[in-house]
Amino acid sequence: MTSAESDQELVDRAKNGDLKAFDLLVLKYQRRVFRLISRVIKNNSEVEDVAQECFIKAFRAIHQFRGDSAFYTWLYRIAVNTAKNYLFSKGKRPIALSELKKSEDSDSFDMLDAVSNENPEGNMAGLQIAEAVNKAVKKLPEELSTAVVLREMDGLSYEEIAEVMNCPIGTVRSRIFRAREAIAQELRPLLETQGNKRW
Amino acid sequence: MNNKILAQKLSEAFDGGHMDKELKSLDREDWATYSLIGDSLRGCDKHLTLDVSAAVFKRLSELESVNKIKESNTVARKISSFLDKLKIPKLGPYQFASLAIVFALGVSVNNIIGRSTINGIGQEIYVEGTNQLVGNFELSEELESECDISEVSVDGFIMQHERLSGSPSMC
Repeated sequence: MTSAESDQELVDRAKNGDLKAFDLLVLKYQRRVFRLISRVIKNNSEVEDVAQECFIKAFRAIHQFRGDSAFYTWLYRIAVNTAKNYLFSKGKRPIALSELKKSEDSDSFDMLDAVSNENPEGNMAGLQIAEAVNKAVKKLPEELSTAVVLREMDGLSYEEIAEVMNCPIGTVRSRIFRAREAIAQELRPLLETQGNKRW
Repeated sequence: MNNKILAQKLSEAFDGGHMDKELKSLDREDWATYSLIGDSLRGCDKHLTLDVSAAVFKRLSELESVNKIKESNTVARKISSFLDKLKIPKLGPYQFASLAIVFALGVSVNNIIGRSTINGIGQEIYVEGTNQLVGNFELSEELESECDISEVSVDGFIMQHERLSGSPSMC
C-alpha cells in the first residue's frame, strides 16, 4: 500500500464530513505547503494565512477530488492558485508555475534560506528540532537509520526498502517504527519545552 | 490490542498502511511527531515550528455548523416552494390576525353550541361556563351553512355582552 492510498482513505472519510481525518492530512502536508507558498511569499504570518486558506479551500472542494492524482498533487495546485490569488489581491505579479515547480523540485536544504532574519526565534527553534532529529538518527543502529532515511528522504515504499535492504517487509515495518520511536523519544523533551509557543 | 502494536500500526498507516477501526481514535500527537520527523529529515527546517492545523480545524468546525444551519434553511425553503406550488397563500400579519379572530370566534361558537341542549322543540344556546341562555333555535329554521350559525350566535353573544356590561362596545 502506498501513502497515496492511505491518503485516499482519509480523503474518503473527510468527504463524509470527518474533520479529524482531514486534520491528519493537514498535519501531514502543512509544512510542504508552507515550503511551497514561501517560495513566493516571504512573510511567515502571510504564509500561514495563505496555507490556512489553501486547506479550507481543499476541504470545501474535497468532493471534487476523484483520486486520479495523489492528494498532495491536488493540494499543491490549490496552494499555488491560492498563493497566486493572494499576490494578485496585493497587486503583486504572481510567480509563474514553472518557476515554482523548479524551486519545489529542488530538495536541497539551503541554510541561508532557513535562517532568514524575519523570525529569528522561530528559525532557531526549527534548527534545534532539526539538530535533535539528526543527532537521534546518527545514534540509531545502522539498519534502523537506513530504513527511515530511505523512507523519509528517498520516499521509497516498504516493498522497495525490503528489496534494497534484502529483508522481509515485516522487518522493514518494524525497523521504521523503531527508528521513529527512538527519534520521537529524543524529540519529546524539546517539544515539551517549546510547548505552546507561537513563533 | 496493546499500545505498542497500535503505535506500530499508526506508523504504518502514516506510510500508507490500512487505517483500521482502532486507529480511528489514534494518537494525533504521535502522528504529528512522525510528520515533524519526516519534514525535518527532508529539510523543511524553516517551517518546522509553524502549525495551522488547529486554526484550520477550528474554522472548518465553524463552517460545518454554519452549513448545517444553511441545510436546515434549505429544507425550510424547499417546503415553502412546495407550498407555493400548491398555491397555499402565505400568511401576512393582517391575514394571520383575521384568521386568529375567526378562529377565536369559531371556538366561542363551538363552546356555545357545545353547551346546547335539545329539548325536543329547538336548541337552547348557553354562554360557556354559565347557565345563562343566549338564544333559542327552532329546528325548523334551516341553517344553510356554518357561517349562518356563527352570525346568529355572535349576534346573541353581543346582545348578552351588552346586557351584562351595559355597553355595546366589545373593547
